[in-house]
Amino acid sequence: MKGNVSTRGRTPRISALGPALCLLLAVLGSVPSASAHHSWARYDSDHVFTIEGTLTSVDFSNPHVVMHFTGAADGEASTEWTMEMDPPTLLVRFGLKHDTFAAGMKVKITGVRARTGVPVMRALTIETQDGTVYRVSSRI
Amino acid sequence: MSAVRGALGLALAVVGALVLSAVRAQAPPSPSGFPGAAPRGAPALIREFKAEPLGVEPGQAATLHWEVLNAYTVSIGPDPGRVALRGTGRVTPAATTTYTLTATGAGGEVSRAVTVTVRGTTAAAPTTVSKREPPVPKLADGKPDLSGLYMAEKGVRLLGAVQPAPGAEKFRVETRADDLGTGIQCLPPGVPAAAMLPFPLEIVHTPQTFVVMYEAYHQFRIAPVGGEHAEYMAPAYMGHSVARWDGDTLVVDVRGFNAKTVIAGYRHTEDLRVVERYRRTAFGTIAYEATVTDPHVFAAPLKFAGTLELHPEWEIGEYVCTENNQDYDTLFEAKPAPK
Repeated sequence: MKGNVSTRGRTPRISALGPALCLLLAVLGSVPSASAHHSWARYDSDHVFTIEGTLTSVDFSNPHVVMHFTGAADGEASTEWTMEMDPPTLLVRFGLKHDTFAAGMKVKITGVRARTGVPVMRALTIETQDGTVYRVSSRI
Repeated sequence: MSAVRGALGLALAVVGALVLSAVRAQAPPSPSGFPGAAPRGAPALIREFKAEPLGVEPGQAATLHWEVLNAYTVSIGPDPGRVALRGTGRVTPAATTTYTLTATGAGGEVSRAVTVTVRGTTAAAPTTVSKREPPVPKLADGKPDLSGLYMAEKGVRLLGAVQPAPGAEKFRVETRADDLGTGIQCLPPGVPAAAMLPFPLEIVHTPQTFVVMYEAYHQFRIAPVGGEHAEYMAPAYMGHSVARWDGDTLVVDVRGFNAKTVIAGYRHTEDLRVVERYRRTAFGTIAYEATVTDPHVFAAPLKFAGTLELHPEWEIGEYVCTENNQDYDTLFEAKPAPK
């Protein structure tokens, strides 16, 4: 989980992503026209991080697919996380199925975290144990 | 509606993200700290592309199988052309043929080839899908047929800056840093906002009627072509639409809005008027423009523009916003993670 990421504050930061992706996310987060249902304002789009965990629930429903997982962010104890993704229709167009993910699966998630520091995140990509990387956000 | 769709022959299609392409070009190289995912988005991945059997007798068919992830557009050349992310297709090559699958997504383009050998024939040169598009289809009255499923993959954007009318400060939407926006209530976004979301829309067009169905919030608008607005229109989120032709451009006049949506950071009055222009510039694209006026709010018209791109391989999906609408205030006020 750690290994390749450096940390800044409480949120691990992928330094090699550099300012470009962070700027991209920040800009997009401020464009209301690009938001569906709700903005990303409550997420810290300046810090993209990666976390590994085990899924505990999958709710493939509107307006956002929500999954829960148990995992530990860098420097923190393991806890239960809530993870939001794009709506089901968008994920299906990226190639996901409603049963692609299931409780018990080990995953590596890249995304942005709630500004308040609570274990809530918006996922950008999810990597499964076979190395497949799934796009789960229209913002990247 | 289904009868109309069938008659028009363009039933399916769509999606994509907004606003991204210009910024994607500036994205950095792949991050060393995140193996398996590119910074510009998960790369398109061809999980499978094969032919069964790989060798056939003249006149015998082979079946192509494919599955792709993280791509907006998938094509197989020389045929069957544009296809969905996963599927099968029968081909009957006259000579030994190399089929090339090309997948394009936010992370770039990838391709893979498979050759079907036809006994006793010479291999043809590998080829991709022809870039030639069919002509713009016509309606029975000779006007361009705008029907199809489209997505504004590069977004519909405001051109220029907002010029508020004197005293329009009261219409300015005050937003907190953590504001979730107006969509959190799952209410209709209005016009032209409905075309600006990262969801597709489907147009069903006849000489008499122009229908736009939005995947987002499952909204739709029906504009009679050549029709006139009613004397009284109950204020509505999506307004009331009528259409007319200006040459080969369909102009949709939208009035009768309520004052409950937000445009470019401003609320508006019931005097809001939106004039949309749809011009099918090619088989696969519609140039879309929207001019927004409200003399109480804007000193000058707001201009929005974007390109709607055809996705015949998609279909409008089910988006029921209220299904699992979270209590986000509670969600984000939970206890911080333990150290």
